[in-house]
Amino acid sequence: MVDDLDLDALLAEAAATRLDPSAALTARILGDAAAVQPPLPRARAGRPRYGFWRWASDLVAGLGGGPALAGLSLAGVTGLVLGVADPTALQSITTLISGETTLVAQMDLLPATDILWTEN
Amino acid sequence: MPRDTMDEVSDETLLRLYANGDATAARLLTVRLSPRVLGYATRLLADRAEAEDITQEAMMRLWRIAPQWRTGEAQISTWLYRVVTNLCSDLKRSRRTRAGVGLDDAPEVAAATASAVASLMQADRMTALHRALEQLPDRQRQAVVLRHIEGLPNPEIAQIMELGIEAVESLTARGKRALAAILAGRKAELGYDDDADEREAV
Repeated sequence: MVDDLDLDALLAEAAATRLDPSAALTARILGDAAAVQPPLPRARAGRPRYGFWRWASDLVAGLGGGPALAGLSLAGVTGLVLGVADPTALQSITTLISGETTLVAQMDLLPATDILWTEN
Repeated sequence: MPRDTMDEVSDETLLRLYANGDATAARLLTVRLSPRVLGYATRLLADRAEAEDITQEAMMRLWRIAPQWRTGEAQISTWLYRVVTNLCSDLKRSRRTRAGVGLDDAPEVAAATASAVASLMQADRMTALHRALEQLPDRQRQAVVLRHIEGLPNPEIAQIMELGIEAVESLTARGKRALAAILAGRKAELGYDDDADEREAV
């Protein structure tokens, strides 16, 4: 029977012997790894959807950003208020500027076109 | 991440990086793990070609389980040893009726000895060892290889073989005794006669 010393030496020699995979086996293993590897999260997300908020963000940016949008909104609201509000409140300003008490003065800016609007 | 930094990263972290799409992680894991897997499979099967197929399959199972790997549950190397053990057992069951292993089937050993003669003697010794291991019952062979060649502690072997530690100790001891008996009378083949003579001379 092989004594313990010899057997231990033989096993130790086997333990120290490294079996390196061939280049072909390594290539096969790496090929498998690439084939089943989950994609990168960035690639998995794909192209982002062009939704409402993206559209609104682009619109605000196109108008010049937040401050520009605020100015535009204020001008719009002011125009709406002036159009809807009772003109009596503006009479003092009208009198001061034109000296007339009539709230609405008709002005004919293009008299030559009156014929187009006259019936019969 | 630089290569020298990656060398210090654990197998588990590399597997997580692989699952997150890092291509470098697969290469590093392959370099680290495949020689051990191949060595173990070769010693269980005594057939290099079959051991390579088992290595590829075991690594494939690792790639597939990567996204579901639960951190801290088991060591990746332990898990791989268990996969290889089961794959080899299945393969040996399926080829049970085939003839014994011939010399041509013995694994090629990459010897790093100085002279060609020494290299050949080492290759002969490894061939004799693998042929002797092949004659052991499966469980004894697995226990002996894991304990005395792979150098694993008994608790880890118990996990791999899904046995108690006492059963592992018993299998290892019986396997080693059987191995010694199989190798009896082959001291010349193993190249130990000269050593014995030298010891006696000293």
